[in-house]
Amino acid sequence: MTGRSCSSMLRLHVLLFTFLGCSSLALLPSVAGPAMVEEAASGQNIFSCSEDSNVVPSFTEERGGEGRARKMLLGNQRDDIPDFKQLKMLPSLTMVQRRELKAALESTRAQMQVLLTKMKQLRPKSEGARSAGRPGGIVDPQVRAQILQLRTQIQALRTKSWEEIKPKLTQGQLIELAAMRKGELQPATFNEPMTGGGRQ
Amino acid sequence: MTGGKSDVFWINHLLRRAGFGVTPRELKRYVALGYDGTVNELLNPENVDNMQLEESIKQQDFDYTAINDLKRWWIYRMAFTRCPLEEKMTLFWHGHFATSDRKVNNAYAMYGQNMLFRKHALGNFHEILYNASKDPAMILWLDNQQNRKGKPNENYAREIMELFTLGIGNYSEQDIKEAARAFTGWQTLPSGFFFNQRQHDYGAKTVLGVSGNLNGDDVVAILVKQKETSKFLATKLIKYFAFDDPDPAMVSRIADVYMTSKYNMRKVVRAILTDPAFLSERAFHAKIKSPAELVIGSLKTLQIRKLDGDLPMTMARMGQDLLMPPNVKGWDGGTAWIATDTMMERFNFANRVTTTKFSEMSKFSSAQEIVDNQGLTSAGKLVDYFLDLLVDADVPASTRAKLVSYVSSDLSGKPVSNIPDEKTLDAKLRGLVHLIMTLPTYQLA
Repeated sequence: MTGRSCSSMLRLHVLLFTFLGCSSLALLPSVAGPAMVEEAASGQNIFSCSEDSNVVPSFTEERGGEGRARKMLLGNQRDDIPDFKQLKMLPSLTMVQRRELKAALESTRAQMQVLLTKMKQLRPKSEGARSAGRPGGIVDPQVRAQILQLRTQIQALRTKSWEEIKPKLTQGQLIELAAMRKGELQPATFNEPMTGGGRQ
Repeated sequence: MTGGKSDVFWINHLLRRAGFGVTPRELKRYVALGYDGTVNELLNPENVDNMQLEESIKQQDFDYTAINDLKRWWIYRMAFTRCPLEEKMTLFWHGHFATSDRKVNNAYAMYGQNMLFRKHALGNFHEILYNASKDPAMILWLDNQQNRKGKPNENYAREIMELFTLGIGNYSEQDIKEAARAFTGWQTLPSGFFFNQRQHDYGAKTVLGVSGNLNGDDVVAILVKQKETSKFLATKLIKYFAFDDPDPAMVSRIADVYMTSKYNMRKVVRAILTDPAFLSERAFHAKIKSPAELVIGSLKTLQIRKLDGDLPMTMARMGQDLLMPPNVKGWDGGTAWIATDTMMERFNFANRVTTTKFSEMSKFSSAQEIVDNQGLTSAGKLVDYFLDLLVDADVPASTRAKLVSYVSSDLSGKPVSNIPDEKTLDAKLRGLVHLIMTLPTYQLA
């Protein structure tokens, strides 16, 4: 696609949303202007804040975007309890441990399911507030209170499961799990040079 | 350089395609290297000291077993790496071997696959395909775990031909059936790839005219050397880097490089980035920015170092949910990025990012100081400065005139000869940047 044909399609959308009403836009390239040359020479532009440039970049404290479901379940908090399905990925997990893990999760599954269903039912109410553009998302204090209560219950259940599972893991596996969460465990990928396979 | 344009002009173009845009600091460094030097550096990430990125990442407390953290980790890499082509190619392979955590449901396996693509980003396609075929996330994604002797599952065999190598129409149904048998027993365990001998079909097979007791490795080797594969990959890579409608002559040139270099992707990508067609008016602003390009490019231009934790969701709403491509074909790209809802999301993002940046800047300087420091003494100069910075001044005169008119008015829209106060100047600056970021040209890479 050329710039010209991109332009004709984009124009329609821009007309809808900007009050500029840019009509008959022809995207013919122009010679680089002075700003670009100055930027290249100085290593700075109008957005450069010298006080800020050496700060290690980071995400904002409030970790948004956890995923709507997860955020609703856990809020912004991050805890030391791992995602239980990741436990199954521990390379050293034995079949016995696998069964124990499954049993531990089974014991709280029904309760968890009830809580999750209740939470799911509350979601449209909070989503409705969000799409209406109200700050904070949830307007009704009662709904907010219900969600907070459910969050506490879900968290308590997760803690209970973890307390049951944790003693079944060896010290080495706990270290392995921590390394996995930090991205330090060699991922279980086939990341090897070709050895004998792939005959040509 | 082509068309009488400066090195700076084409380096900017290069960095939008082979990277995600550029900060002024980076631009200064690349300009010192020149166009060829920049291409060399981009193509040889192993020679670039990227330790600062790794150190910064360690301070971020990402949880690699949580998919949303993994998305943030990757966005962070794209934004702050000193090896942008490595990340751009990682994104290419992610789209090519499109695997979604929606089904894999295992963030750490997705992390492993992502690391694999990064390691082989500019490597040999034979090795990439070989490793991707044995990757746990891929095995789960395309059901090879269920591909057993006597009960072959054809998913992987079909996609490896249709989507990863030959392209549709260049193989038969029989080829798929036979290749599926060759991949039987290729499974995954938590410890990684596992060849289940008991489930492997050791019988004779014929794939694309080659017969024997073929296994998956053999099928991979057969596929990578097909002429159709060279054309398929060349077309896809030209579309990714240069323009959406490559002509057969260019495809043929790039496909030849693939064959003569024995599938060396570094050479293939170099051939594209130095091809006369890439450095031509035809390629300039000829591609619609993907959400990754739009978001990361904006962060770079505006030099935003405090990232919104919601960025993965923002990109998802724009149509590119990292690590969760929509289907086995990956993202269609091109015009598919543009729809009413995704454009609205782009405009909302522009608004948010502009507001954030100017609020941040106001801690250091007043709006008046900001424009004074750049010598922007008139509405025309102000508009030209931002048009150059954000869209390479690639707008018609009528658009420029409207922007000048916008700046030359007060908050009620009444024309004024001088901006009356600091508050109005601040609002006009924010508004101007936002308006330029919603122009059609800003959506183009």
